[in-house]
Parts: sequence; structure tokens; C-alpha cells
Amino acid sequence: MYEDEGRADELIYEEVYIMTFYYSIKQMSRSPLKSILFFLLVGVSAFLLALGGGLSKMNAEMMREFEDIFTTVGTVDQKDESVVTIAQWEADKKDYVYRRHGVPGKWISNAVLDFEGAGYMLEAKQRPYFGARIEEKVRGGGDRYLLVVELTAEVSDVLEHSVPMRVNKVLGGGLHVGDTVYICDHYGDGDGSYEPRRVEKGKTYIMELNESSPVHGPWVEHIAPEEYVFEYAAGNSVASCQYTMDGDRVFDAAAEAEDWNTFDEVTEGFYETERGKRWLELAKSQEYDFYTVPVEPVDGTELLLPFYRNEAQITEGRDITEEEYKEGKPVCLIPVELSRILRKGVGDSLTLPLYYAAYAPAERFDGSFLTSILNARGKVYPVFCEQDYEIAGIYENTSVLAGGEHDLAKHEVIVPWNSIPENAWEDNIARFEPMSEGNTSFRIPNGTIDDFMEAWEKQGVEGLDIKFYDKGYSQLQSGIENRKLMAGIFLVSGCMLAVMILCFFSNLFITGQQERIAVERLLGRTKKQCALSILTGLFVLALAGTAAGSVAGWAATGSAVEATESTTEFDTTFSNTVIDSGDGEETEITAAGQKNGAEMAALAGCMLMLAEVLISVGFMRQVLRKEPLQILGGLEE
Amino acid sequence: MERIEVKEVSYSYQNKYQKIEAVKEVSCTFESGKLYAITGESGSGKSTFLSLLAGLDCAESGVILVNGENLSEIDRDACRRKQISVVYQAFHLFPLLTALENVMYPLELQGISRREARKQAAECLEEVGLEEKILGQYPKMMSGGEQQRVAIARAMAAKGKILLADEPTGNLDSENEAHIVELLKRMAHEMDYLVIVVTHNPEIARQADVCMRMKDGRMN
Repeated sequence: MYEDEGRADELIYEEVYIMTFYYSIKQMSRSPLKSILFFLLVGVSAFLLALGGGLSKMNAEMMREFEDIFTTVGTVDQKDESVVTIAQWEADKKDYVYRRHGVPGKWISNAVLDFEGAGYMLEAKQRPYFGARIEEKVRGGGDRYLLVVELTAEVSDVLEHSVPMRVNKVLGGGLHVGDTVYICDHYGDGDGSYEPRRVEKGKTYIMELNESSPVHGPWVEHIAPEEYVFEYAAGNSVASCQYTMDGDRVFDAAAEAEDWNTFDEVTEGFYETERGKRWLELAKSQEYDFYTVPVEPVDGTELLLPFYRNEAQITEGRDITEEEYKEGKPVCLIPVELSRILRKGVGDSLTLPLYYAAYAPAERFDGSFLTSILNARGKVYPVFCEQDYEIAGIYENTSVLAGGEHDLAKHEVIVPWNSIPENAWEDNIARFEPMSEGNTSFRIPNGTIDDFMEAWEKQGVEGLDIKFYDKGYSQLQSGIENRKLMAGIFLVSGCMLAVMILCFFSNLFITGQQERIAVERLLGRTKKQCALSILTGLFVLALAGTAAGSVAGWAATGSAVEATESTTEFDTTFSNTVIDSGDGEETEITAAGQKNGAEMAALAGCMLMLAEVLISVGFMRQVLRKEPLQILGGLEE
Repeated sequence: MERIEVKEVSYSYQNKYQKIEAVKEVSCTFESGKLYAITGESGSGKSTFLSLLAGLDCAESGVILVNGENLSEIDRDACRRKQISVVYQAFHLFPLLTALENVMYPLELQGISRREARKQAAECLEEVGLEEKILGQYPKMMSGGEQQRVAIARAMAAKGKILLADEPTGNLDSENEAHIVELLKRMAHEMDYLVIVVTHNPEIARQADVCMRMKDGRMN
């Protein structure tokens, strides 16, 4: 008969559910102390969970931002091992000037930086820069520097003051035949035995000239100082300065035989001789030089300190991506000035025929740094690698104005290290200097400086100075760790409190209501209805407490975010960068974008409710397992 | 006309130490309009027998027919909701509901509106002789006799005409006991209930229409 009444029962059940809800809440409300306590404690749990979750999320977001903002870069500098005194002839004083400067010991290979425990993100490499001959003239030799000319002495005299000589032939540079220029052995490196050389009237000499200082001496008394006439000094000669990958000089007989600024007398058939041919090659090489831009291969843009310090910034296009660096894609960054000279923009192709390498900071390119770009055979270095690079970005560099050996060169092109075949330049090394801040750098994960240094010190390598630049991350790290710990404590205590509260009150509201459950069963309620009757009120109360606690936790997280935003302004005051640059400028970096989304509070609330459902259903199942008679019998006893 | 037929019913259960054969091959018949008393010593199996009649457990063997339907084959929850009510010595009222709400509860469980349930519950409470002032009181504010009357009123409200009572006067003084016995008799004789009372109380046994005795699980 009851099966037949099933449909009617279903209709009744809808009302019964409402009635169940009503009585469940009613009975809950009639034990107000327990209910309020439960509500409050669930609320506190939800508050702690929401706050802990919110702070954790905020911390995670901050850490992600920090990882973007902060990078830890190290530079390596080989320390000077000794100090030497150099006697330098100064013509205007007609005496030697003694200068002291540091001298590094035996060059240390960057291989020593490859050690266990370094944990590089980008490994330490001593970077060369390359010379690339491009289509447009980018450097002015003009009439001031790197001139290769034949000069005929107008008088016979020692070059200890400005001596007039007439331009006889111009092999390189912007002087004009017939002009009179003044030559002086103004500065002469040496050990104190250097004597200014002598020229004979009517004889022709070939020299490489660079503009030096205002003219002086008896031959220029007719020239007023305000006319600003400058003398020239003989510069680089035809000797090669080629090096091996190990930093050893490649033997060149010409280099062995002469001073660095030797000049030759031009006689009949001179250009048929070996030296004569070298002078012609030198003139050619300097012509090359005017069309040369420095190209620096690197594993990451941030390894270049001007970029790291935001003194150089990409103003058009984009940076070279990590993947492009890794895979050695032919993409490059060029400075604004070069893009204007070349009339090339982002996306255009730039052919870079690389023909020499110099192991020195790239900014040295801007001076007359290289002794020679002739190899040991007396020839201009041949191109060792040529490929088309796509211009990914154009950068503007203000660090050039500041100067310093870790700046960029004026027209420096930046390319991925891996875009050039490994050691393809080994026969084209025109200069070799020890590792320095300007060309040896690496990147390690933030906060691992101490670990790195500990591992480094175990290597026992001496003579290298390692500096780190982290924009103040180390100082902030402890604060971040504290916040992480605080969030963790809130989360763990919230979880523990939640579990304890839920277990205690579930026991109180469910196991403690066995009699009610048994009576309801006697009155004909099914187990499911009994469970609903007991749990509905419990869930409603838990839901209310959870919602209130979560909202409070969310609001508290919001306050924490506001407090953080008002106090967390990260600048590089504490960073080595500022200390090192000494310019007193602060780069402020704000950890912006910390949004207090409600999702963590909602998630915490949902998790708490889920725990409540699981725990209370567990308790309910235990109670419902007992038969009503068993329960009531036990109670009557 | 309510009728319960018990045929060769046996039931045993396992306690912590041994298997207890609580009911052994009991056969009997109960009809409405009569007050039945089942007596026996503690452990004789009378309360277990009552729970079998209430459908709170199933007989191991034998058959219990309630109005001709085998109790082990029908929805026993529904049966208790609609036909069989049980009252106990300890009353087992909902402590957080008032007397009126305790009686309304089974009515609303059957889908009766709250207003109608309130009306019918008040009638039931009046029927068992409780004054109106008791209606809003919680069980802990009432005497044992009042609580038992509320329990009986709740049983009456369920509309079933079979009332099973397990020691209904066990916690009552003699005056209240007399009132309850009188009420049970009235229910049987005037309201045509089938009332089965399990009791130690010889007075109830004396006043019952039929008195049965159980010993060692067997019905004499």
C-alpha cells in the first residue's frame, strides 16, 4: 500500500523539506549559546583562512612581481696584482712624467667560474666584442684621428715640440696634400729611456697621426693660442696585436722589432717592401674602422649593466626573448643613433660581417682603443662570421654620457651569444684583457648570493673580485620571508582551528543529538531525512559563520594590501647598483598591481564548507549506523 | 479495525560476549479496541518483541502481519509514520521544542499545514488532558506525567491506530501512573486503538484486557 502512495509522498516531501529546515533552524536557535559560539568560531576559522589565503596569494603575486623587478647579476673583475711606474715623456714639459698604474697578474680564464654550486641562470662568460663592417660610415676618422699620411719635414729638428711638416700624400683620413701640420712626440710610453725622435728637412715619412694637444715650441710662435691649432702625435704603427684564445700574443716580427708608434722614412720603392705593404694595409684597415660598429654577444640583455640599471632602455620594438637568446636566433638590438644613421627600424634586416674580436669592455671601442686591426700576417682580419640579423628593438642609452667601463659603446649592436658559432673568432682576436665588470657577468637566482659566494670560496681561486647587483632584493628578502611566514601561520592555524572546531561542534550537534535522531526515526523519518534535519541547521550556521569570516578576512587582506602599498616602495637605495654608480640617483620600483581579489576568500570559505560537510557527514553516518532502539535503550539505561 | 498477527517469530542478536536469543517462536494476535499488557522479567525479550512490532528491526524468522501486510516487506518507516506509534518510559520528546511543537511535528511530517497541525496538536493535547498553559512549555519544564502525556499525544497525532508503549509509567508517580493507564484504556476502548503495553507494572497488567507474559523469549 505504501508503494502506491509514493507519488503522493513525493509531493508531501517538498513540504517536509521546508518543515525540516524550519525545525532544524528552530532547534538550533533554541540553544543560542552553542550556536553563537559555533558561528563565531567558524567565523574566526574562515577569517584566518581567508586572511592567510589572501596574504599567501598576495605574497605569491608580489614574489612574481619581484622576480620581474629584481634580478641578481654578478660581475667579475680581475684584481691588479702589482703596481708599476711608467715614465712618460711629455713634450711641453720637456721631461718625463711618472705615472703608476695597476697591473693584473697572469690572466685568469673564465673557466674558473664554472664550478659546482654556482647555480647560474646565465653562466659567467668573458665576452669579447666584435667589429662588424657595415655599409654606412659610422665613425669619423676625419682630419683628426687615425690619419695615415706621408709628411715631408719642413725643418730638421727633434720632435720634442711641434715641428712643421707638409702633407705629401694622404693614404687615409681627411687631410689635404700641401697642408702644413705640426708633429710632436708629445707622449712616449717607456721605461724612462725614451727619447723624442728627429726628422730631417726634406725627408718624407709615413706616420699614423692623431690630434694631440695645442701646438707649442719655437716653430709656432707666430700662432696665437686663441687660434686653437693642434699638433699631431704619431700613433699606432703597422705592428699586429693579435692574440690567441688563451690571451697570448701571436708572434709578429714587425711588432717585436719596433716601438708602438714607429714611423718610417719613405724612399723610392718603399711600398714594394714588406713594411711599405703593411702601411698600405694599415691605411685600408683604418678605412675599415670608420665603417665598423661594435657587436656584443650576450646571453641576456640584463647582463649588460646599463640595461640592468635602466639607463639603457628599449624605446621601439622589443627586447630579445629568452628563447631567442637560448636558441641563438639572428635578432639584434641597435641604438637609436645607429638606426638613424642606417635608416633602419624594427623588423629591418642588418647584415653583420664580423671580422675581429676584442676581449675588452665594448665601450672601449669608442676611443682609439685598438692598437691595430691587422693580424700577425699584416692583413686586415678577414670576416669570420656574416649573417643577417633582424632588428628586434631599438634602444636609447644614457649611460654613454656617464662613461665608465661597463657602459655600452655608442653604436653598440647587441646579439645573442649563441647566434655566432662557438669560438669562430679564435683567429681574429685583436685585443685581450683580463675579465672586468664591463665584459664578464652572470645571473643567479634572487636571494642566492650567499650560496654562490660560499661555493665560490670553496674553489680557492684568488685574484678575482665578484660584485653583485640585486637592486636591494637581499634587503627585501627578509621582509618577504616574514610575510610568507605570517601568511603560513594564518593558514595553518586557520586550518587547524577549523578542523578542531568542526570536529568538536559536529560531535556536539550530531552525536549529542542521538536521541532526537532516534525519536525522528521512531516517528517514521528515513535516515536521509534525519540527516537533513540535523545537518540543515548546522550547515546554515556554518555557512553564515563562514561567509562572515571570509568577508572579514577579505577586508583584512584588503587593509593589509593597502598598508603594504603605502609602505612598500622598493628602490635601489640599498643596492650595489647605486653604491657603485655613485651618482646618487635612486631608481624607484613600486610593487604595483597587488589586487585583493575576493577569490581567495571565496575559496577559503568553500574549503571550510567542504570540510564541514565531510566532517559532519562522517559523524552523521556514525550515528545513523546505530538503530534507534539501540540508542534509546542506551539512553534509558 | 487494526490487527497485528504474529506467527512463529524469532529474533536473536549478538552482544559483546554471546548471541542472545531474545524472541523465540512467538505467535499471537492483537486487535484494536483492546489494551494488551506484556509482562515479564528484565531480559525476557518483551522490549525486543515490541521493537519488532514497531518495525524497528526485522524478525529472523516468522511473520508479523500488520493489517494483513508483512512488516518485513513494506516500508517500515512509512508504516511507523502512518500506522504505528511508540512511546517510551523516558518519553523521548524533542527537548528544544515546546509541547505543542512536539505534537505538531509528526503531523507536519505527514504534509499537514502548520496551521492545521497546530489545531490538531492542540486537540490531541486536550485529549490527553493537558491544560493549555502546558502547550508552550519545553519538556524540561514539565512533570514526568505531563511529558508522557505529550508523548502519547504525539503518538495520537500521528493518526495511526496502533500504539506500542514500553514501560510508559516507569518514571511516574502513582497518581500520574493512574492517569496514564486510564488514558491508555480510554484510547483502546473509546477511540478503538490497538494498545500494547510492555510493563513490569502489575497494576497495568491487572487493568489490561489481555495480559501476556514473556519468559526467556517465549510468550506464555
